[in-house]
Amino acid sequence: MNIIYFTLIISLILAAVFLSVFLWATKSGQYEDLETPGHRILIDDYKQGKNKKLEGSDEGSDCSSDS
Amino acid sequence: MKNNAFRFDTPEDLIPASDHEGQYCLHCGNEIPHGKSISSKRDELFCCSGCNYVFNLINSLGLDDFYELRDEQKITPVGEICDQEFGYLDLDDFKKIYKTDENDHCMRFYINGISCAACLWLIEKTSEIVEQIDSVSLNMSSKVATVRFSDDSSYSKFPETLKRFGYSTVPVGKIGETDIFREKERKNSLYRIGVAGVCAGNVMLLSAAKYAGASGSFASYFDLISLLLSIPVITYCSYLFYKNSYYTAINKRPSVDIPVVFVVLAGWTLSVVNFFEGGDVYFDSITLFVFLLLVSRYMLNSISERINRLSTPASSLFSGNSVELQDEHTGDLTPYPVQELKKGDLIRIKYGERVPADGFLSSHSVHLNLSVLTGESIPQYSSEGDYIYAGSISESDELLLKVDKPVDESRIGCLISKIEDRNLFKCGFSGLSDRYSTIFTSSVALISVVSFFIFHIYFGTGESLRRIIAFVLISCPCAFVFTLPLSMAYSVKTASEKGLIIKDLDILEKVKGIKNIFFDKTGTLTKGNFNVLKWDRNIISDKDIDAIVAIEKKSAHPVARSVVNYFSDTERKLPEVSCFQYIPAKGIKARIGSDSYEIISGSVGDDEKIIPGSVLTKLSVYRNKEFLTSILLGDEIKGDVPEVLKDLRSYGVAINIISGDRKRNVISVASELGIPAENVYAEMSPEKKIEIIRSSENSMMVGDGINDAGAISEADVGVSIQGSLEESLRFSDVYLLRNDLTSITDLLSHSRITGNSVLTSIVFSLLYNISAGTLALLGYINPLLAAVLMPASSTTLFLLSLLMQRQLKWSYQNK
Repeated sequence: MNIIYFTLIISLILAAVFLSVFLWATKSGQYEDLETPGHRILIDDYKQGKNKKLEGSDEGSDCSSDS
Repeated sequence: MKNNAFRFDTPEDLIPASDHEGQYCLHCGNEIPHGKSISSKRDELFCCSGCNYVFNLINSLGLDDFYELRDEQKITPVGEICDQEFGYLDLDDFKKIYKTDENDHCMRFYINGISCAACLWLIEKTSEIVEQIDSVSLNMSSKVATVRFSDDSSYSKFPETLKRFGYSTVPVGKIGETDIFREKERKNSLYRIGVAGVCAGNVMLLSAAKYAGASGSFASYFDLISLLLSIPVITYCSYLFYKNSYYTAINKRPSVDIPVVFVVLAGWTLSVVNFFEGGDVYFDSITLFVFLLLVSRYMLNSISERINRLSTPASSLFSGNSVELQDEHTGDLTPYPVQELKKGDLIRIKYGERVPADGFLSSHSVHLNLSVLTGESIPQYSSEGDYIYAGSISESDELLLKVDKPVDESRIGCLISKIEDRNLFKCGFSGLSDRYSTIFTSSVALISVVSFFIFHIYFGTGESLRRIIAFVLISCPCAFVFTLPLSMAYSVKTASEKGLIIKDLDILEKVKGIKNIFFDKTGTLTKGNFNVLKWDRNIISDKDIDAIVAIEKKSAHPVARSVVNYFSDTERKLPEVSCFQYIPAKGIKARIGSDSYEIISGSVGDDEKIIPGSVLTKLSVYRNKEFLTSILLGDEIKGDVPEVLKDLRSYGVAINIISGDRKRNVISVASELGIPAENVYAEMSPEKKIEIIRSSENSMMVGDGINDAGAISEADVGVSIQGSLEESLRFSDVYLLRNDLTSITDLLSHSRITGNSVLTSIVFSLLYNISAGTLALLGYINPLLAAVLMPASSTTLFLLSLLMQRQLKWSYQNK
């Protein structure tokens, strides 16, 4: 049964490892925004840059028309 | 509700009776209201001109993936693209205020109306389509985008681009010290939870081995490790409990932290003593207790923080709008921050903008919408030299104002700051659980101290300490601190999904006792804008209508605008108008061809009162001095109001109207809705409204806008409807996202269900605490059993709150 002494210490080391991972994750801000990453997964497939540049602004014609 | 408990699973009930045509806007995905569709070409249908514009823009930029991403989800309709100017962000005065860091080209923006992955994609895409933007990173839970620019002179590019995509933005400003502090605190409490969790988990495993029969050297080895593991828990993790109880003890306000500190310290000391002398140790119960407490605190804090984040400082009502400052000598216009205005400045305000300061009118006559201050729905006429108040909305094309009092000193600024002072005492999640736990804590502490001295005489220190620890562990208001706020928080969250934003847990309890509901008239019971209510279409030819529309189109008066809107449903060929001319304070006249027309606005005779809604203005049309027809304009009652009032009466509450509008208008609305004359309060100034609400007990005030703000914050429960969420939550307790009053009945039923569940929980936990507490004091329950009973009772309460969640769901599904 002396093996218990050994396994107990191993388990405590394991616990310490998990704790430090958790502390690191907190420190690096992974719990700050729980919403965006979930959405970001969806948009990863849409990265290809086929879009054009936006040029100038053409306000006035389309703004504040109250008809 | 009871009878309907099983109805929710029949699908027929879920489909609205009136089957719409089912046309959906191509851009936002919302159903298009009947007959309101806008189509530019082929079969492209939109709900509004804004959606149409954004759709075309997105496609022309090759960003049509947006719609693939949006999929079936709906986003907020664009409406009209707003005319916000952001050029001021590139001026040095403003950069100082808004840049996150002086040496960095970085700014943060709060973005309204983001809801899904597609919005995220589109907003972050701006870094690719606009040259000056280096990177955009959007946080969807706080709705704040951090934007990095390539140079120091094009900060306006980001909000301008988003404006064209249909999002409205507000620059957030520097990262303040409070933000940094709050973020640090949040991280710290997560660290504490992590440490406490790891320690408690391991200690529990070790003690499980002991319960299973480990003895001798194993047992003392396990106890030693438990002791070591418990040290970080009672020092680092419990630090805040010590600090809080120290401060609350100094301020003589017993808080729930004091018995927590007692049980943690006494239990730990006793266990350490027992460890050396041989006896029971309670490291498992102590560490688990601390861990559970930390978790519940964290959850409560994050909910209350999310709600508090919505409130913003006073002058924010006007920030974001910059004004144009006119140089007295050269007449040059420069954008200028509203907050920095001084007495004597000359500013120019455009159509539809809010006047940002009290002052004197320097331009010729204008029309002003004063509804924010008075509730009066007809725009008022002011001439040069008149004193005008901040908060009024300009209904004329250009307005020059000589500033007398800047925002914070203005009449409306004073009103707001008065309200905010009051709310300092009203905010936060402290309410309910704190009140009970104070009473609870004091009595638990008193009983423990008294019985400790009594037991001390008979059983000695060890045994009496053992009993007291068991007693405090059992009666520790875990139920109040943990489960109760949690189920309240759940209730608040469900409510917000249904369009009811509730600021404080306390509110639900207060709603239950409501006896009187006061409704504001304009914008709450009525639609709040001008509409043509009635006109005699038989005696007037199409040619005359064309003439009226053509003439009214020339006028900037809001009455004229609503007449034009009303008749613009069919294509009209408008004739040429000549000799257009205002008749001061009466109306307009003009010539069309050989006919001369006059449109005179006048007051309404008694015979016209039969029309539903409040008739405000009567236009009489004359052709060549001969009476043609009259058009009645007014403010219509919202469609669902009569039904809502009927439901509310069935809850046994009295309905009142309180309004700043003219008596005749208010009474006509009241009689239409069957509200007796003694419950009608008309021509009330904001100050007077406050007095009436104050004198009425158990009152709820439902209103919109700042003119009701005082009354809303004075009421036991203040509800605001419309307006911006951030503004409204500062003075009201509940904010209705949906602009219909059925939410008020939802609020009442919601509070009843929650209240009943909370009452059951309280009764249960009192019964449990009294009976188990007595047993513990009599020595039948040792600390070990107490530590098992405590989570067991919490679990029961948790189940009760689950039951409540079910009930809430049913009540909404039955609709």
